[in-house]
Amino acid sequence: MWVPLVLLSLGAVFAGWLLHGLFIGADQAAFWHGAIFTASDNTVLEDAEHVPAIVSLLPTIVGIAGLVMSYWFYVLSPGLPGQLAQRFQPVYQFLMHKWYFDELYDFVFVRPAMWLAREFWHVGDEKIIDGVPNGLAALTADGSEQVVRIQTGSIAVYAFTMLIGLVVLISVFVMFR
Amino acid sequence: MLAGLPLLSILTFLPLVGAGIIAIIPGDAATTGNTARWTALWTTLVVFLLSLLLWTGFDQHVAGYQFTERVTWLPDFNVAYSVGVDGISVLFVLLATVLMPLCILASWESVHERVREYMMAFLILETMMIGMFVATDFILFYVFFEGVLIPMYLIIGVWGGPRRVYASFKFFLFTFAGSVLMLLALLAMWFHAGTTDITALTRTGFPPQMQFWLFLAFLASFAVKVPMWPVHTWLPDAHVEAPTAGSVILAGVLLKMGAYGFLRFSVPMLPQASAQFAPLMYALGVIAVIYTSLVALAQTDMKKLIAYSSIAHMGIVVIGIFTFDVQGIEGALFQMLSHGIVSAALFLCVGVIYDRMHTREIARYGGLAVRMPAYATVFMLFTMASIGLPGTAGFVGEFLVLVGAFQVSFWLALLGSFGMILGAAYMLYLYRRVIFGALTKPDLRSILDLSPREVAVFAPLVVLTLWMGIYPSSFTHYFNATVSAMVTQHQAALAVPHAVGLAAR
Repeated sequence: MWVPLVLLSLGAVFAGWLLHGLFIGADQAAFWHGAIFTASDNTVLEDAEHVPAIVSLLPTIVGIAGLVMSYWFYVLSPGLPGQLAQRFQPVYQFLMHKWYFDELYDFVFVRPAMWLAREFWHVGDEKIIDGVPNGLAALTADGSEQVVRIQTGSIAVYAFTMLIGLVVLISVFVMFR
Repeated sequence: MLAGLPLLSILTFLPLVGAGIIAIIPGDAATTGNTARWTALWTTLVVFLLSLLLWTGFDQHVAGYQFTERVTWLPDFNVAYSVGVDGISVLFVLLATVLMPLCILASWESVHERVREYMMAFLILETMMIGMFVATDFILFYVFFEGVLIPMYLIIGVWGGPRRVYASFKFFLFTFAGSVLMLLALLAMWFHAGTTDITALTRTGFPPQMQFWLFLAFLASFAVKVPMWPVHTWLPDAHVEAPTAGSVILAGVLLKMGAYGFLRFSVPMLPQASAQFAPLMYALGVIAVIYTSLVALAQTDMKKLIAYSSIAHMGIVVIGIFTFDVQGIEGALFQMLSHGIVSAALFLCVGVIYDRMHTREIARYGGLAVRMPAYATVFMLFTMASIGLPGTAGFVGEFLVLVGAFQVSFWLALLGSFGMILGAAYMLYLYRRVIFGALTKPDLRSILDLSPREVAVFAPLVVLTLWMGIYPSSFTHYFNATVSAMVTQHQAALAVPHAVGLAAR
């Protein structure tokens, strides 16, 4: 396991020193050969050479500070991180939950999406869209149940119905003749 | 060798012969069941091998119909038995013939009752499907288009789940109600043009006022088949209740009938009305994509989730068709083919674990990767293909449709691409809940990985998914000439709206 780590650390330590000239230094235009386009009035690489010394050194300083701090926290006095977490609970929780970004996304995107999904499914699909054919089917079934009552089987009722029909027919015929 | 051989008729009616043989097998239920399985498998395999002659013999540079046959059928009404394939239909015939043997294999052990009738229903279904794609006469098309309903109705209603009767009635009534309006449109077109030959009808040029009503009648029929929002609710029910192989054919081939209808009838025969209605179709397509993708996210039943994802994918297809653009239409065709393979495979994936556990509840699974590594791999490939990962079949179609949509409107492409994002959400969510996590359910501890029969079912689909994703040109070359001709014709028809109609009179 340590062989790849050593190889990678060699790169980490020496890559900047080796490739500086090609990537961002004097030879960068020849190296990128148009793959990275730089406008003629863009001097950002040039400007980067002239920042105050503290800016250039800052990554190194922060890196070493991190080394010192982790040595202090995890080797010299391993109880300290626990105590700090106890003392500064809110800060600890905030960092622990990655600035609450997952919770934020859950609140802004996931919950509304799932709510909308359930509404579309249960109300949109099941109540409204399926309500039309199911309602029509129920209406037909109920309606025929009512209509069935007319068929009593009694000849007297049928004869009476025919008589009414005949009266209506003759009335219409007389009225519109 | 091919000269004089009525290949398309053989492909169409050979399954019917197989069904006839199964019908007359003597013996008790166990022996007839076994013979029926083998007869169905061999019939579908022979049909598949014969259909490869279409793959090799089809001339990709010809835009019109090939392998044509024509026999006068009802001479008084100018109706003929005429069949042929062009770039739009040829690959759908192959899709049907590829999926059919896999369906028979997938039902090998899961169907125990009325095996003879089951296999007959599938073979009759194959006849109807192939006949529908090769018909070049409107009456003949209508006969096959409606004929598909009968075996599918029986497959859902007899071999389905607990709510099978409700689902099969819903399936039948939804699709049939739309089709009746298409029959009216068909009659109107016949009275106007005096023929039912599809090529002749395409050249007729109907007056714009008539096109308006004809388009609505076609829309009623095809929108239900696609299915488009808001007439999609029959599909989840049908899928949930159908046996695995029924879902495979339903998603793989039957869903393509509606979009095929748009491409075969609405767009070429009614160019003005199609252009006029295009915004409505975009709107319905976009709604379908976003609405059903969201609904898919909330599902607790695996089959229902995939059914809703099918509706979303078909929404992309509808958008693609109505861009009237070569890329858009080719993308729609490619999306139909890839969806035919991928959704069929996903339903088979559900079938694999359903056969073992007899439940489709997502919550009943979890951690299957531990016991079923091969299954997890196959399922992952098709999940990725459904999402549209580059390198799989799903990507090419969606990409081409979005390219086509972009030329229509930036907003159409943007809203359409929501489907891909939501697709990733619901498919990965499904995959995580079923495959990953700890294997805590006690009855899952002894679940078995894919059997050799199941590997044989998945292998061709895996190959096709990767082939379509890595080298799509082998497929797009088939429809390029036809689609280009169609788009040119459409633009010409729009440029001179009345000249075509006058010339035909």
